[in-house]
Amino acid sequence: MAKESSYLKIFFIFLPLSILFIVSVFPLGYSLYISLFRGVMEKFIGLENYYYLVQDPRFIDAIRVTLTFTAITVSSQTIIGLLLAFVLIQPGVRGRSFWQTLFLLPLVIPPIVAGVMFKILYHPAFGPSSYLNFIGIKPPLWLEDPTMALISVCIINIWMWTPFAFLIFYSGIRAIPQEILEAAIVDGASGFRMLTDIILPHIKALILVVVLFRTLDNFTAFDEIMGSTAGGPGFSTTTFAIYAYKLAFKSWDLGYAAAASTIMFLISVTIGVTLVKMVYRR
Amino acid sequence: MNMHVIKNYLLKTIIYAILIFYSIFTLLPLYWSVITSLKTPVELSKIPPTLIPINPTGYFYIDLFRMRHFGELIRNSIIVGSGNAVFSTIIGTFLGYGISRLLTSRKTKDLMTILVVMCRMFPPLIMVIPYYIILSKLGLINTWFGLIIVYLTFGIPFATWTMKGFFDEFPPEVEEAALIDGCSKFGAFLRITLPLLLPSILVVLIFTFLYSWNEFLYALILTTTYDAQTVTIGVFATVSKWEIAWSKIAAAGVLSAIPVIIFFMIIRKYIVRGMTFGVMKG
Repeated sequence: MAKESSYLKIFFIFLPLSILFIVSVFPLGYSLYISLFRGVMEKFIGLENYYYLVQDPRFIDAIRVTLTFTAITVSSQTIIGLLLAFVLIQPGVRGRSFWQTLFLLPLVIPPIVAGVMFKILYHPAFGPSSYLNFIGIKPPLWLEDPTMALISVCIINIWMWTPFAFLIFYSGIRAIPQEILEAAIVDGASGFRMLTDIILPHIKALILVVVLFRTLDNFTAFDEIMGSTAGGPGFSTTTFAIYAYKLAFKSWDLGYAAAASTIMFLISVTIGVTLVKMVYRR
Repeated sequence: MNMHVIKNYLLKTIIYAILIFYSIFTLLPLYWSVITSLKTPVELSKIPPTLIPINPTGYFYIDLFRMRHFGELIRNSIIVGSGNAVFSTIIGTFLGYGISRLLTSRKTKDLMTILVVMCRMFPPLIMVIPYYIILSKLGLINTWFGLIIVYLTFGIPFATWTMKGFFDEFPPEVEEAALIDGCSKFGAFLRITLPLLLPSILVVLIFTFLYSWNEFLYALILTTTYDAQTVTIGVFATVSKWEIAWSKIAAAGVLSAIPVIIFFMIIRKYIVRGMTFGVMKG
């Protein structure tokens, strides 16, 4: 019996775990190794890439863009997701599963396609904002103006991932025992009081989890930006991921790009660990 | 009394206003792409833009297949997606079972689960650089097989996590009964547990397929011709090469989104499970 169990462990744990490690942990380590070379593994230069990176103004700029992008998107997704979930659980709302299904649709659309669809939507001539001309308002230059472009790509990411926050909050709120909510209604609690006194304390952990996952993901956002602005105009929407991509596969400096993505990874691990600690401290 | 009625009415109006407003926001990019894809160049230049195409044309869709090899791209996406779905689900089912049933200590169980989730957290950008060199050395650039291997990096963690959740919920008594009847543990897994969990396995298959279908960055760098390129690359290519052919870009976006929307409708009951990977058991 003991023997069978150790065979089973090899078969069910050791083998599949080895495959997972070969396909994901090994490349990660290899990437660190690549970052010690110049170009495509041309010359070993030690930590030189990192030395240049911390002085590279474009890289510093990419960090700034990435942090701005992450801050705007994560906070919007959390707030809007919470609002939608709160609205949908109100007593007497009809067609809950219909609204839910509708809201979740963006989750399955390929991110690159979301970027492309918004590029069409943002078009100054045949996009919907061209209607603003008729009421005497000049429509914003969604993707042409550098400041606006960053907001525009944020909107794409918000469109894509607010449903994720909504889904988790909605499931979380519905898991609150019905008696607690009903008791609050009987006590005459207003909608706002119900939100602050009952719902928020119950889903506090879920809020942190949403913030954690969205932060880690949005921090490396790539597809939707590639599909809409490709990092432009200028460098106004060049996030970490776009910058590292261009370094690696436009300038073919794989070593430098690997170093950049390593720093990106370290920053996201730091953010992740900090948030996880917050989640589990409680 | 009357005040109460008015207040209630007002509240309902606000609730539905929010729901409708967000629905429009969700559907607008999709709708605008659909109408843009059906417009003739003459109609596209109309001011203001028409909300429903007057003279809808399917020309741009046909053109995608004739000139942009969308037939091949769809074939590649299906092959790579299915390959990844099958391998990931098999490996994930074994590992999920192993973690759920063969590990006895709570601590190792949690540790393993965190390890698996962490593998999903590695940003694709840090993996794509080493994979470019590894696949080049193995001669697997621009092949279905190469892409399938790389997609395991997100397929296995997802399948493992989800299957572990399904196994956790599956009553162990069913298997124990089979053991008493003289079945080996492996036999019980194969003949009792797996067949009963078939619907769950199907859900995992569909989601891993969906994730593969939507993937963009790896395919962008690791495939070079339409022998292995996927649909998302085809969509991106229409943007970068024919910036002016907006209707064609829209058609490509719509075409690539249709299959995932159909899948979404089929599995929307399981969407909580498939989309909140790493957050909750569902």
